[in-house]
Amino acid sequence: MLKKAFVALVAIAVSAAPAFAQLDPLLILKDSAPFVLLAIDTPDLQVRASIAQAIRMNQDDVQFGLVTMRSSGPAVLVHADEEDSNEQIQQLIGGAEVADAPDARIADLLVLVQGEAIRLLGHDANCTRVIVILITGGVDPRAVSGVTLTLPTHVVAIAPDTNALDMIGLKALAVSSGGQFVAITQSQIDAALASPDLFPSPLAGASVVPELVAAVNFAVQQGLAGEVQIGSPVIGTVDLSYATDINGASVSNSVVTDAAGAVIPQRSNVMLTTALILPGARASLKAFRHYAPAADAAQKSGYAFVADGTPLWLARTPIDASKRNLYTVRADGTMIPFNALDAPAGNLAVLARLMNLSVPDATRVINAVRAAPLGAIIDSTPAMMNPPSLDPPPDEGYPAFAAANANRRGIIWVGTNAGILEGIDARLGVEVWGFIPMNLLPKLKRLLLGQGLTQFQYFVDGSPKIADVKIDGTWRTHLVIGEGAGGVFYQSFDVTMAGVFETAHVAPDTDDIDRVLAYFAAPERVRFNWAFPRYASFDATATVWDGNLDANVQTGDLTSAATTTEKSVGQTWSDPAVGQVGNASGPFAVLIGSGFLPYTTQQQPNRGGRIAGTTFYVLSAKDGTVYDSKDVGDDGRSETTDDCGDRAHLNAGEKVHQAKKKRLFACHTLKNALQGGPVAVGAVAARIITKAYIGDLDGHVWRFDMDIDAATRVPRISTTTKVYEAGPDQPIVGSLSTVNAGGTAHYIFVGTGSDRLPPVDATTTYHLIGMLDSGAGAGVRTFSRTLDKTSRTTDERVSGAPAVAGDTVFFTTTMFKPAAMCKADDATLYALTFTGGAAYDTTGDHKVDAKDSVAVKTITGERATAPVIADQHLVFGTKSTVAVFGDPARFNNGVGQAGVRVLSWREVR
Amino acid sequence: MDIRRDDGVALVMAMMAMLLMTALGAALVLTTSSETIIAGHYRDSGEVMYAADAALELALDDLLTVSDWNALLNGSAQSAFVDGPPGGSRTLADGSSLDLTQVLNLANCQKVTACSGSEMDAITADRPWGPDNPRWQLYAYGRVSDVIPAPAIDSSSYVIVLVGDDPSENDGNPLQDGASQTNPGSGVLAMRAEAFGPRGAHKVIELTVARTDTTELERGYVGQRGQNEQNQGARKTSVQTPGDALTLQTLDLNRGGIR
Repeated sequence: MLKKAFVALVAIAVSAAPAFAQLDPLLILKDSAPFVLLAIDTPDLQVRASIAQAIRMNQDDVQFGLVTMRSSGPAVLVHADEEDSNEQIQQLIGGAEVADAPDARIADLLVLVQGEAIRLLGHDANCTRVIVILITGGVDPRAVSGVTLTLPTHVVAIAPDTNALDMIGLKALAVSSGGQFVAITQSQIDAALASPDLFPSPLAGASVVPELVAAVNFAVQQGLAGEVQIGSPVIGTVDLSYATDINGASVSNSVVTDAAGAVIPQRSNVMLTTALILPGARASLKAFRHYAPAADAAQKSGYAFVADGTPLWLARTPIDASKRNLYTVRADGTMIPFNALDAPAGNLAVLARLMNLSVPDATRVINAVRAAPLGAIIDSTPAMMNPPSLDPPPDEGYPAFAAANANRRGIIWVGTNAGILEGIDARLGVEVWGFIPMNLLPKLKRLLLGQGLTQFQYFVDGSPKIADVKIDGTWRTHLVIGEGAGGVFYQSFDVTMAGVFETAHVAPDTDDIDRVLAYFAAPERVRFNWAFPRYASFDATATVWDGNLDANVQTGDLTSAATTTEKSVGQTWSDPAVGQVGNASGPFAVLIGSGFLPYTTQQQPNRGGRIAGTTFYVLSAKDGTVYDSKDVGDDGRSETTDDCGDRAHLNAGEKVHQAKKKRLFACHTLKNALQGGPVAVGAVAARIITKAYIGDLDGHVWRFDMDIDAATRVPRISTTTKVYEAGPDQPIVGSLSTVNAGGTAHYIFVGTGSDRLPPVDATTTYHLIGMLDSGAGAGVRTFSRTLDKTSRTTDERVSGAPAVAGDTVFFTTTMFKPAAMCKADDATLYALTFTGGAAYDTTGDHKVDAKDSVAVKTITGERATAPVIADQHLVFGTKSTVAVFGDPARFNNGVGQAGVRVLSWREVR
Repeated sequence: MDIRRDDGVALVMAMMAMLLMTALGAALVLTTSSETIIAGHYRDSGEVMYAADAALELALDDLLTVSDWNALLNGSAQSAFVDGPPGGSRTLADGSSLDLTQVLNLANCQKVTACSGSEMDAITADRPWGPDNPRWQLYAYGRVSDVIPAPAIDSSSYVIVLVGDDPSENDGNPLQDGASQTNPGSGVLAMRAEAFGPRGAHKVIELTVARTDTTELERGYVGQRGQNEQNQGARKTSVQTPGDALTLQTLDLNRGGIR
């Protein structure tokens, strides 16, 4: 349903090699779809089947053209700018006559391709992108020379003699044009022929060669090449004592002392950014030093802490892939290694069964996953785990727990769409641990095909939550994570890493990555707690309708014997809240919503039509038991819709390209789900959770009051209240923010709509909303700011959850320009008081009055991520930069939660 | 006439007794009324004392959100607990009128009319620090019942919280929190809460507060998305100074550096 983010490129020069300037919409619309010219000179059945697969994986977001070698000479069989070009090619590709002159001159083919490319670029020189993919299997004794293509040209050679002159020439052509040369080996083709069921092809008797598909997908992605931030930056604390930066230089003043010689702690000193890199659908996870100490005698400590930005590292997998510590679990929760070594004996057979593959195919997939770089990070915002530090301590036992783990190594947890929950060493930026959820094992094989722009496969796409919890009288650190669009399961892990320093002697400031890797080589270092739904309810052989693939695929789903509660869980988008519920004797619980589930999936026989996605759950942090749950229902609008894509609006007999014209009017209302993460709160200055707020896609804000059931002594949802109704066309996609207003009252802030959803009609506008919930009955709106919408000229939508600091609430929005898709978006930061007024001086008169605007800053040509506040600074990502608001010379204020103590008190009268 | 005759003395005695009883009764009524009034005043006094203390608690909570205390000292930052502009008349629950500006002036120079600089710097028994006398600013003001929803507590008190530079400073600048970090009053603030209740009840509390060293505090795993429900829901300190402009710098992801 939610189309994901890919950067679009604009060719700004036609005559010379095009320089691509980066656009930044998250949604690809027809008007800006890249053209991909397929140049084929072989009729090989497997090649044609693989091309058909690749077209299917990109069909809604790319327009393919077809140029082939025919016996009568090279010919443009399908023009890429024809509306149904993709469908025409799919019809033609089934016949061997599509390219029946394999011995013809490749150079002649390429000349025709160049002419066709120039014709396509004439559409709009500023906005059209053309990629060329030459798939050649013939032997052309005449060397390819004298051909210059100024467009990225990717060459996929089928079982070539790489020393032949033509191949040498083609390789040079690919490299010089900015493309890629890929040789599909005979052994890869034979492997595909040996496993025809791995990727069934609609072409009779054909086998899809996944490596060929992956090469085409890679080339297609170059039409949108670049690096785009989708998730917010995060700021946390990393031990940088005597560390080095990305260039190997020592980090300056990493350890500073005050006049008395005491080391000055440097908190919130590292900023992490994530981005999606195309082509390749890889991760960009970067660490930067947020600030640095600068000697300043005027400061009490002797140092001022000023903005810095030194690059520290770019995350990567271990250089030696054999040292990757990748794990998965069996249904009983036993952690097992994810490798093809078959150690312990029988492990490979277990993995193959869990992956629903033969042992040879499982081996192939496992090795491919292990050899791949870090996968795309899209919706997963990392969590930075450092030593335990709750203050004040929750109970008398916590200080001992904090002291015992004071030297715990810093780890960054993040989900990727290569199937892995990653544990990245925070100091060195190297993957030290990885986990593949059991329910995603059958899906891993699709990574062999690469990632399509239309059929993008999600895996671990949720954001991890780290929390200290007390289980059976013992304090532990837990991690809980969902899978977002990747799946319908949540997972919990014990990441305490007890004794990592004291026993295993892995110092928090060591730079010996091998020592850290060796620590995580033991599977018991990170313990799997539970999954919800239970893994025992998962059937790896089940077929599921996958909305992203728009097809039924055998990648597993819940069994029909799964409980109705388990079947009520949709895609696990809702990020968890974790804490102690009810009272000081209550247990620690995990609070979650759920997330959207396509209607077709919901109606599968194994699910029996159980409505999924609209339930709020309170789970035991110990074992995932459902303490209580509440279904909020829906408004009856669009509840049988699968997604907002083109195919949802196909009428009988229509073709996809005809449905595309309707796409701009999709998603006016949505199938309901509790999509965002709940916000768990309690009384003022109390850490006990007594209620949670969450929004849904039908535009409601809900409050769930919780207490401890006197009879069962477990948490229960005592009341469910609809606090606010924004309207059925005002989906609340992200999380809320709240502020305690005294007593049981809370201010709640929320944005409706999302820049992650497709655009809707020309008139629907979205809002930034503030409300006051007294704790009883409905809330009262304190402000509602309408975002800009002017037909197809401007379309402003909120970028994510708001953030609160002091008496100010911050939102970020993205302004799209639908009528001119090649014009980049604009990012705007809003700052409002709790009653909707301006919070900062925007006129320069050093005061705030009616003349000041709530729109503090607009950054043109950028898309904004959601805002994050730490250490009295606000940050959000924009394309290839991060905007940092706040005093440039006032960092290291702890976490920005100032404390005061009373020195004296007297009664005057 | 025989003067030794006692006819009619009973009436006189009875009347005298009645007068005595009346006097006693009147005294008793008077005493009871007085005691009632005194008790009422005592109760009101206690209530406004608690109201003043509660107002200080509320203001302390809001104080956590102000990153730069100079904004408090120059009057540009106010609590979220305000019922209108910083000044002017308010009508109390008993119908009487209270002028915030006059309250402020009385605190600053012990008269109801506007204070001059020299008047605020004047050395008096109550304000002996001269140029370091606090120049009070209105920070929070409103009805106590607006803080706490009924029927939890039914109070008719009106509370005002003033903030000013603490007099332990010696920089002669009451509008700045310590000219340098070494000034003894740096990071220290004076607060004054006044509560007004029925029947003229009026209490004043003053206190001084200091910032704690926040660099020692981490308070949970803050380097992750979302609100930290384990952190007692503590509100984050403001970004820069609300009311002033926001400073923007940019981190280049490709080259590094925040500029």
